[in-house]
Amino acid sequence: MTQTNSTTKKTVTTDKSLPRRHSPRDNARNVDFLVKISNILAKSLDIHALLEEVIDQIFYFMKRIDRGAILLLDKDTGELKEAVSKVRTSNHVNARINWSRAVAHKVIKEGNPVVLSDKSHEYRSGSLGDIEFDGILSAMCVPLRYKGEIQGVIYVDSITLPGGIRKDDLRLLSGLGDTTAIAIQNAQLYEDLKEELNERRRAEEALIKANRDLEETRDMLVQSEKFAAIGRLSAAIAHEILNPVNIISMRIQLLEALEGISESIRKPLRICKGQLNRIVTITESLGRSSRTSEKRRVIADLNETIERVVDLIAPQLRVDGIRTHVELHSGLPLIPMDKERIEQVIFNLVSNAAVAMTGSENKVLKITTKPNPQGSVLIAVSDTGAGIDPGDIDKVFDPFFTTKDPGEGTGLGLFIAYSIVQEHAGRIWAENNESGGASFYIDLPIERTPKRS
Amino acid sequence: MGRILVVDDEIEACNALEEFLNLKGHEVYTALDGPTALAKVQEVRPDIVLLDMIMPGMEGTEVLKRIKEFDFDTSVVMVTVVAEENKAKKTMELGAFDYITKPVDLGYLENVLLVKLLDTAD
Ligand SMILES: Nc1ncnc2c1ncn2[C@@H]1O[C@H](COP(=O)(O)OP(=O)(O)OP(=O)(O)O)[C@@H](O)[C@H]1O
Ligand SMILES: [Mg+2]
Repeated sequence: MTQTNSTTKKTVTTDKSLPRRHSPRDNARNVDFLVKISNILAKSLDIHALLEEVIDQIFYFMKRIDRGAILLLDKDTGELKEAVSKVRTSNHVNARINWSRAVAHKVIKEGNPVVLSDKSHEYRSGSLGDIEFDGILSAMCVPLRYKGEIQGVIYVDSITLPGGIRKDDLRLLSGLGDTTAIAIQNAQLYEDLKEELNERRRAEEALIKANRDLEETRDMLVQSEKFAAIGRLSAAIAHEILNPVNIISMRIQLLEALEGISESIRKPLRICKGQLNRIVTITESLGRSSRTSEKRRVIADLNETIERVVDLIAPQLRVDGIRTHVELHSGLPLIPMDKERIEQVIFNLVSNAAVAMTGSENKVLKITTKPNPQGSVLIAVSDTGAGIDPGDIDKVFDPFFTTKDPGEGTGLGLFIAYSIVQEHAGRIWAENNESGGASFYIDLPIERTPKRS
Repeated sequence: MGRILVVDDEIEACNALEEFLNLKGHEVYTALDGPTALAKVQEVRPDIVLLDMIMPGMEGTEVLKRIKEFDFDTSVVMVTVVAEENKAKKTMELGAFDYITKPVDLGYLENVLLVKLLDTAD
């Protein structure tokens, strides 16, 4: 083939110099090759799998070629990076081959294919300035161009078979370059799309989480707002209720003081007084749930406060057959608190625990304190009682929620505890514990945080 | 026994207390608000004033201060609800003799009055 000879002499062959006419056999081969590659490329969206396939097909169609690499241009750094490199005799994907940088860069710079054959002048003289030609009998490099922009090159060479490269091979490789460039672009778009989708999914997930957090915060705010409102209202209501109750109470006392009253009248009067006392207990408790002034807060030792409450009720606990374990952390930081109010909280929790253990065989009350690394102190009051019905666990802090018989409990003990803990910018919650009983936790901040605005 | 002025914005509260104190043999006067109470104090010079803490217009504490300014030999017993107990305790510093909580235990009230009256009798 005369054409081949003239090309190889010229060393650097641009596609301008390629003849337009192909032989029927070549055409058949080329069409077959490009169709096959196109099919593969169209299907493949994974860049690396795709590029590897391109090299494999080159090996299949061009028997002279025994090494191939696809080098992609990093748009940011201008660096040429080996995306795949393969040797025919090995299955190894990233076989490090000493592809000619000079050739690749020439192609990138000029945008035209380059062919080097063992007969080529530059190759022999080494004027390409590349020492990596050792053992390379011929090489071929075509640009990967998409919409006029060079993305990289396909580089192939032969180290075993002499005789140069047929210009038909170059044409084929050039065609392959265009197809591959499109495929790379597609794969890139796909990757980008995938990344965009991932990003969107991540953003969506973040949004969902943010929403959930917001809802939780809102629920908490609504809850504490509700309780604060009840607290404020309670003080006013307590006053409004206690005035008429006072009048009724005095009237009953005056009636009782009358002489010659029969038992049939004394008895209903006693009942009336008892019921009035109920009203008084409830209203006074409600009054207690309302806020006190910030001024009453002092920096104090929580352990001392707890000990005082325990000392106070220890005799009663002993009578009830309850063993009390108190584990107070010795290094507990001092916290700002209204001591009387915190005593009230502990007292309410302990009396609830005592009541809950009435039917238990093993009655153990455990009170612990410990510092929380997040800048707070944690109090736990646990019992071996009957525990809280899981359905009630969210309700126990609600005002008037009680499982006690009418007249027995006000259902305000935990509400008051909740309100007081709120005043201290802390948290209180309930859980059932391993022993089947209930555990109440209080987390109080060490810092004097201003109350929620 | 004693001369007692009952101050409460609720007439039924005044009535009940008046009835009870009359029964116990005291001389009872009533007032439904602060200004009236101050006028009554000057007029009848009671031994004891039973003074409601929370009243519309002039608050009990304010009435207490003004009574103390008269420098009469008048003792003041504050009447309050438990929620206001801390405020009530403070009135002791302002010169109140004692405080009782609503609902008023009449037996207890009588004891407080007796203590005061026996005190002044000495
Ligand atoms: N330690 C506990 N174990 C099991 N249930 C509890 C415990 N503490 C509270 N509860 C449940 O929570 C309800 C509400 O408690 P809360 O202290 O508010 O009111 P109460 O104890 O019923 O009435 P009061 O405090 O006026 O005596 C109780 O009736 C009970 O059902
Ligand atoms: Mg309780």
